[in-house]
Order: sequence, then structure tokens, then C-alpha cells
Amino acid sequence: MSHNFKFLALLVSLTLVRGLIYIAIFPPWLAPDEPAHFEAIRLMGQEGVWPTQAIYLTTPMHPDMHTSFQSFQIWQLSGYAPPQDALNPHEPVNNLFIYYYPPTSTGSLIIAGNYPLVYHVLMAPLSALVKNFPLVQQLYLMRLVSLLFTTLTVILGWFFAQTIFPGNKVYAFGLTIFLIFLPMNLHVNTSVNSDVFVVFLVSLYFFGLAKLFCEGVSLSKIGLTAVALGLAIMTKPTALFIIPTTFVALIVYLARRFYWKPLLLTGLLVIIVVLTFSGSIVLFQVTEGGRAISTLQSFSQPLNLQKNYFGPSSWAIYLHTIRWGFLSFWGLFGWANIPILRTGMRAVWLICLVIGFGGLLFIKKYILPMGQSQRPLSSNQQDILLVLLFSLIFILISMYTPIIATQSTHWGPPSRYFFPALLPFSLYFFLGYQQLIPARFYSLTLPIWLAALLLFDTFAWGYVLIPRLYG
Amino acid sequence: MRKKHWSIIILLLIIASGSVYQLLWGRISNFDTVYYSPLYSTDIYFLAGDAQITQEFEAEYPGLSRIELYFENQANNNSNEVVFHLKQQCDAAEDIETLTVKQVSIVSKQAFPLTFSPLDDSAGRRYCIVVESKSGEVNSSLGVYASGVDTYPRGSATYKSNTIALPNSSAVALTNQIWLPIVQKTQPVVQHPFDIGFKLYYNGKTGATLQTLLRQLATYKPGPLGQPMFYIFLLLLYGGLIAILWVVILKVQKN
Repeated sequence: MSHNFKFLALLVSLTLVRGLIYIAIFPPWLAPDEPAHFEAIRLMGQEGVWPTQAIYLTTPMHPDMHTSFQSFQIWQLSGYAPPQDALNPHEPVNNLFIYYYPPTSTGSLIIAGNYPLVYHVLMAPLSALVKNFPLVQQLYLMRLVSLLFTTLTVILGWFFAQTIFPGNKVYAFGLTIFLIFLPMNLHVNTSVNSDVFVVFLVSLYFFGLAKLFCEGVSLSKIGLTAVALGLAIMTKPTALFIIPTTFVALIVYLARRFYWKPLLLTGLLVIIVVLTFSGSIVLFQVTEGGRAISTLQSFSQPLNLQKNYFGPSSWAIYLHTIRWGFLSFWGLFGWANIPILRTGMRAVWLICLVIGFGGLLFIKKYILPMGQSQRPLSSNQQDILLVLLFSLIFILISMYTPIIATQSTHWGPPSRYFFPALLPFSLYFFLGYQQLIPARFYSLTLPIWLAALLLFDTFAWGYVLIPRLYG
Repeated sequence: MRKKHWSIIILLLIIASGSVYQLLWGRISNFDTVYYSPLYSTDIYFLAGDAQITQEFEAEYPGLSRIELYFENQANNNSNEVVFHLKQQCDAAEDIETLTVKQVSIVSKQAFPLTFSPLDDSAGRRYCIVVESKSGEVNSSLGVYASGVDTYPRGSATYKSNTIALPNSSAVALTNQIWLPIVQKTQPVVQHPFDIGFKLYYNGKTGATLQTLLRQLATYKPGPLGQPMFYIFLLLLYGGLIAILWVVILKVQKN
């Protein structure tokens, strides 16, 4: 077995073991919208019905749902009031899921027509297969499928980094270690939720893009990238940022192919960013958001651009959501609402800011000098890194324009909406970090990276999660 | 010279970003607040005179050493005291622990810790915390946060409202205190089951705590996840893989 596959086997084993740890630590249902996704899959797989509003109003939830919520103290752990019957406080209001979880938890209800169901259709056969298993066992088996997708994402991350930086495993290790040791990634992407599938599909898309730019264009690579793009968009609106990313990829490719002047390329890229930003705001003004695109709904609400987007209350919302997005990326654990950063929050902010400056240094040193003859990176590397940089801009636009458009915190944004861009983010985060290491300490780059992430993760589950969830 | 120039720029950028950060996110709210326990922010029970609130609970681990409760305290400079009794049962005559604190030391909405010597044999035992305010005023403005419904399956709370005449009961309530008399008036005796917001902390012996933790981790879970030994196996496997990863990383970086 080659060294490459030995390393990969080690990382895969580590992902599986860590995934199992996170699956085991988090009680059933205590993940973002997990009961809602599970119920939609169960309706399709076990009841043989499409999860419409009418079906939710007539089909009882699994008879053990309430019992398992009680056994694992889910309402208490999540901090929400259980939907109790006034006469019999230990029983739910009735046996319909629509009156059980969504009204009290603010969790979504997965309704056909309003919500993309690709992931649920994919999981339905498994649900049918395990129909006779106890409810909690069914949930854990579905979580294992999520772990499988997360493992595939890590594998894609490894090959993605190797494609961009062939012959240097430091980048592949740096990227995959970040994926494996980011606590929120392991938590969200080992739960039953369409997030895990869309993260896998978008990672496949980025892998395809990297192959196209670094190894040359072929029909199979275009096909792989296009299929991943289409499926990802149909799976969850959080993948929509890859549409403008694809335009940027095309423009960057054409610019290199036909020797466009840098000014023309810059102008076109700026136009795409502006169009994406304004288009996203309009989209969230006239529809319920990206779901309208993923489910091909018609636009119905009137456009309202007369709002005051720069008033004190607007700024308060923006600052709150930026802070919330940051916190939920490094901790908070979705529905469990567990803040792991607490006292160390300022330190993590500062570390991230410093790494961010490192990232800017990297861009200035390696990406911007595109036309120069003496370049440390090849033109292919520069091109794909430029495309990845824009993908990060687009995902931030897709996360924050709903807040600007609606002037409310209704859309969060929880960090899991950012996770489809984990591959480019991890790579840039590592590259930014690497810029901060002085040349004479270069041999410590990976050990410090691993030590920091390992420490953070151990702190997260050892000192925060387990004490919080298990007393 | 060029290197120096860059170092200064980076240093300035770090300081600038730190300042921006302080400006934007300088006020870090305490996460141990009722905001992060919305379940316990619906009701407030007013303590004055001989009013008293109790909460039964079961300690899960050995070494029970701290209980956190949430209060609404709008009296900033009175000399009132709040008394906490930890008992084996709510109606027991003897206290296991008795703690008296100044009301002014309680911060609204934030977890207020009651610390005492660890109770080594607390695992699996039932306790009761009784809270009363030694206040001679109706407007002592100390409320205990609670849920409106039964949320804690291993015990429940009771509330006994004030029955004695208080000297300044006719005092005009300040605007920000209006809710407290209302709560008192509308809920003299609470009929429905409810719980106050509380958190338990332990400082027991490591071996016994780990054994209890393993049992807790495995409870109600299916298959291997329901076996305490599985968690030890996972941890050992994880440790082994981390050790191998360290060796590999050091080699890769060296090459």
C-alpha cells in the first residue's frame, strides 16, 4: 500500500472513531432539526406517503417519539418547554408531529413543495428497511449514514488538497485535520439532516473544479462537477453559492485561455459579486428565500427596497448575526445551544483575526500577482485558489443577505449554512495560518496546527459537552 | 529592513483589529443566563415575608458541591438576606447545608452559585433546595426564575406565598418592579406542576464519577452504545489513532 493510502486510511479511521464519539455523546434528537428530518424520512419510507401539510395533520408521529424525548430529557437539555397536555402534563398535546416538535422548538417542518427532498428520498429506503427496529435504533443507524458521508467528505478533502498542491502532503493534512477536529462539523454532519449530504455534494463539486483547473478539462470531469452542482442545488439552498462560483470559474478559465487583460477580469468579477449580492437580497424580498429556487416555486411577495438598511437597529442586527455566526461555527451545537467558547471567546476571535490577516498576506503574495513571470504558484493553482476565494465571498453573501433583506434574525445564520464551503475555508484557513509561521519554524507548522485543534476539540467534548449533557 | 516594515504593519493590524473587536464585541454576555435556558424564563416567583420556594431533585453523581439558580433581583442596595437550605426532603427539619447570602450579591438572570463541601455519597440520592428571603418588605424585589410547566422529571417545585403582613405593603411599586406584585397576587398558591431553573455541579472522586458517567452515557442507548465498555474502547482506539497521527505528522513535516 502506498504512503498516500496509508495516510488516508489513518485519517478515515480517525474520522470514523471521532464521528462515533460525537454520535454517542449527543443524545437522539439533540441536533439541528433532526426530529423534523427524521419524521419526513419516516413518512416517506415507512408510511409510504409524501410529507405534505395534510399528511402531517392526519398521520400520527411514531408512537415512541414522545417517550424517547422524555427518556433522553431532550426538552430539558435543549431548554425548550415541552408541548404538554394541560390535563395530563406527562403526555403531549396529541400524537401529531406537527403539534409536537415544530411549534415549541422553532424547528422546521419538512414539507413537500416548500423544502427540497433529495436527501429524504435517498434515506427513505433505509427507513423502510429498519421499520421494525426500535425508534432510537433507527435514528442511530441513520446517523451512521451521515458519518459515512462525512468520511467521504474528508476523503474528498484529502484528494482536493493533493490536486491543488501535488507532491506536498502538508496541505492535505492541514485541510483534513481541520475537517476532522472541528467539533461543529462532527456534530452537525453526523446527525440526521440534509446538511451532511449537501456538504458532501458541494465538496465533490469543489473536487471536480480543482481537477478541471489543475489537471486539464475532460468530459468526465465536467460531468462530475455538473452532476455535483445540480444535485447540491436540489438538495439544499445553502448550496446556491456555487452557482455564482461556477460563473467565476468560467470567467477565470476563459481569461486564462484567451489572455484577457487583468482589468477586464477584475471588472467582470466585481460585476458578478455585485449581481450576486443584490440578486440575493431581491430573492429574499420576493420569496421565502433560496428554497424557492431549490423547489422551483414561483415568486409571490412584493419587492420592498425602501427599508432603512443602515439605522442603529439594522447595525445591531448585523453585529448580532456576525457574532452568532462566529459562535455557532466554533460551538453552540445547534439545538443543544451549548456555548463552548465562553471565556476563551475573545482569544479565539483574535486568533481567527490574526489567521485572517495571514490569509490576506497569502492572497497578496501568491494570488494577486497573476500576470508576473516569477510566481511561486503555477497559473493553474492561482486560478483555482482565486475561484475558491470567490466561493467564500459568495457563501458569506448567501448567509448574510437574508438578514439584510429581511432585517431580522429569522435566518440565523447558523454556521452549518457555511459548512458547504468547508473545503475552501479549511484550505484558506490553513494557508493563512501557515503565513504566520516564521521560515525557521516551518517544521512545526503541522504539529502546532494539530495540537491547537486537538486541544480545542478535547476541551469541547471533554470539558463542555459531556458535563453539560450528562450532568 | 523590509522584514521589519512588515512586522510593524502586522502588529498595527493586530492592534487595530483588537480595537475593532473590542468595539463591536467587547461586551460579552454571560452565557449562564436565562437567555440560554429559555425553558426557565417564563415564570418568576416572588420572595418576601415568609414566602418560600422549594425544588426537589436527584443528584446523578457523587460529590454534589454546587447548585446554580436564576434570580431576578431589582433591589440594588438593601440589606436583605436570602437563605438557602439544602435538605434530604423538603419537609425535613434538619438542613444538610444552610447558606445565607446578601441579596445585593445576586445578579439578575445570571446563574447564582451556591457552593458547599462536596457530598461524597450524593449519587442517586434525592435532595430538596429551599429558598427564602429574610425580607420585611413587599418590594424586596427578588424573584426566582421557573418554568411554566413540568420540565424536570425527577422532582418538582412548590411555592408558598407570603402570609404575614409586611410593613410597607402599600408602597407604590416602581415601574420596573410592577411585575413582581402581580406575580404574587395572581399566584398565591401554585396548583400546576412546575420547576425552578437550576443546575447541579459535582466534585466527587474521579473513579466513582467516571463509573457513573459511563453508566449515564450508555443509558437508554441501543446496541454497543448501550454498553459502558464501548466508550472505554472508543477512547482507547481514539488515543491510539491520535498517537499514530502525531508520529505521521512529525514525519511528513520533516520530509
